[in-house]
Amino acid sequence: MPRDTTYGRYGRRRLLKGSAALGAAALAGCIGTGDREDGDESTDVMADEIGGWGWDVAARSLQLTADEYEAENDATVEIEEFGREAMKEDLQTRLSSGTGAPDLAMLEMVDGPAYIETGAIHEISDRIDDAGVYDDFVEGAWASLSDGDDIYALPWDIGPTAVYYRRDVYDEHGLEPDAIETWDDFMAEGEKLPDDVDMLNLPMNDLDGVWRYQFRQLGNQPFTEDGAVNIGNDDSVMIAETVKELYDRGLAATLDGWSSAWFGAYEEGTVASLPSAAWMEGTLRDELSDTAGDWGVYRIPAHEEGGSRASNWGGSSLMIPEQVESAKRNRAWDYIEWSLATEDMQLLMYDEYGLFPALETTYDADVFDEELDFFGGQAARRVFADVAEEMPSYGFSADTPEVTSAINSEFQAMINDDKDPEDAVADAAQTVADRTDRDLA
Amino acid sequence: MTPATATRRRLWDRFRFARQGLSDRLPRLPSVAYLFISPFFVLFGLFLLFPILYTVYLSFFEYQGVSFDSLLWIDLGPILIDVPRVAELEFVGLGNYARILNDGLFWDAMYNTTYILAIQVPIMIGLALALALALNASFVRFKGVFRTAIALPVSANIVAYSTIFLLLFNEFGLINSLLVALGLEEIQWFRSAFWARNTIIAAVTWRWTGYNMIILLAGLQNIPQQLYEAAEIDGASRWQKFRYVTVPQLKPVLLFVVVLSTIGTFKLFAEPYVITGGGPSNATITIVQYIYKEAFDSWNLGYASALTVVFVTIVSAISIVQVRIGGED
Repeated sequence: MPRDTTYGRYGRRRLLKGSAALGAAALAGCIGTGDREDGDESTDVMADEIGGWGWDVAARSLQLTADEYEAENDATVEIEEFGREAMKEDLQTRLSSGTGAPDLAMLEMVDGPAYIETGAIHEISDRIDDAGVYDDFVEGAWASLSDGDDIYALPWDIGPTAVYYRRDVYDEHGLEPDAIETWDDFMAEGEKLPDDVDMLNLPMNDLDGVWRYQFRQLGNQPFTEDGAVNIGNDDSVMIAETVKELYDRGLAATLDGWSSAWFGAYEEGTVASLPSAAWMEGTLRDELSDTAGDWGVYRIPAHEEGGSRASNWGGSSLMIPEQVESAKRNRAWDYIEWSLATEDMQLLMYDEYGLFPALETTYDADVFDEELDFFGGQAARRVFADVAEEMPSYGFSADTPEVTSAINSEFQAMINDDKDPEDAVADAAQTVADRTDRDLA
Repeated sequence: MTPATATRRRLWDRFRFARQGLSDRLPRLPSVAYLFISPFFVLFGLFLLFPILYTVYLSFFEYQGVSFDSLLWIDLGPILIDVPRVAELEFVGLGNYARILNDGLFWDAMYNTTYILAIQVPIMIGLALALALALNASFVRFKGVFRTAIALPVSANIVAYSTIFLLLFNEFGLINSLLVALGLEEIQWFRSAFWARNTIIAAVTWRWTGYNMIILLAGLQNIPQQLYEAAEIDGASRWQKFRYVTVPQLKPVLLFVVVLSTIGTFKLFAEPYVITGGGPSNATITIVQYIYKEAFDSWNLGYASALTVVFVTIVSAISIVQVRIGGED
């Protein structure tokens, strides 16, 4: 029996029919490659339902504003809560595959430029212009959310930096927070502590964080305007020397940040000071509730007398992925503007979850002058608000991970292997230059 | 033949005829066989072959960002078929490969991995062989208990056990507490390159020795007893029996274990990632960890692909050499 001819013919016939249909579709202008023309971009139709992603307390505070938003508007906002790493990984994959991303998501300042550079984020400059809210936010928050004049996300919270200190430990050993203006003063006061108490911690897993807040404090940028690597400059050397001196004089513990040993040290008061950001308040309250009333806050020390004592550590924003269709984009922006650019909502999130507003117009609110029991009656939030208005802006970039890992690696060598601070900083700069194909400044 | 049996038989015959009729009507094409095994090939192609080829392809490009262009779209009114193009790529030829040659961190990672390999694999296989021999000996009691206990670590979750090692060896961990209790100095396990690397080696050895032991044990038990009896008749000593019977007989299994461990150590990722994070100062970063970092921290997808190609080539070359050497008599 002949085996295959009939089936083959059916196959061919079907194929011919199929290609004829495709050809007709092509003639009618509804098949092609490249950019499909999307007709509805200009309309201001808003979707009834959107979904957003965030992690931990950020997600929970979005849930707060989502509830309020739903009560005022005829729309549903679904917030999904993730762990930090889980969300970052999932989001990155979905952004880069061009499909499956949420209608809005939180974006850490430090990740801003890397995400923006991949073209996965929807540009919102015009929307911000139309809403007229640009000047309402702290100036220093915009840099990492922009590419030139184009803005891609709305600032949410920031991390104005100050030194948290254990009031009871300082009192016991006669340390004077008011006497501390420079790092030299800080070290001099620290010398009053006994051997088993350290003045501060230099987290071995986050030495780049230590470097970055001081580098920013001094008004530096990691890369110059024309893209050269700037992390080897004199300020950077000065910071490295400060860090090394803190360590060499036996004033610093070297516990990994957020480890149980780290929490334990602050609970027992074996480390007396914690330079960190405004958002640390929530963590301290949650994790070390037994120490309530024993804390205080002062501005970070300057490197030279009269120098800047303001910086920033961390912060985040909300963005809309480029792949989201326009009706959902419109709704997402409406919700974002409502959550982040109105004082009520920002203060609600600050009050409930300690997310320090990037919205400068909120700083007149009473909540900043409240004398807090946790800080022994100090109006600690005013310190942070003052810092926020002075903090220099800082240009994160897609090459930030290279800077982070080079600085961390060299600072570890400086502390563990006694490497010379000047060499450490120079080597870090050289590494970044090699790895990113840039020149040294 | 009872009527009942006859009825049953008739029914059975009818069923058989029906089945045969059906199979006659089914198309007799060689392609039917392929149809049945095609799910494997489709899955293999989609999830193995395509990623491999795409990695090689990507290694000649630099990733520029997400693309919202479509590779192909068909708009049929109610139905829209859209095949999106995932990435914006710029062709750089062999640029990524040239970059590897001058990449200090790649060579650091190479050195670390090779160091761990050179120390860890011999120790582990020696240990596994010794344990296998001991547990194969006729005079050892409670063999089952020992075998289970030694093989158990392999079932531990890789991140969980890495975390345990992290806790054991950290500055205030159990190991340092014991050292202090014994009147010795604390060791900063993760602060010196030497100790950090050896902590990783200890962790990997702990987990995989039992696994290798089981394989070697199976190999030992496959050696025919007659060979030992013959050797005994020839007056061979214990050592001679080991040297001239066990080792040659076990050679294929040993080779298998060595090749597998070499590849496994080359692929090392979770342990240094969790325990040391690649530090201090990149002293424990492994190649796979470096590839991960390039791909998902720095988004250099093209460069990471080139690294992967080089890495796979090196591992394949080493495995081939091992098999060649091991295969000679």
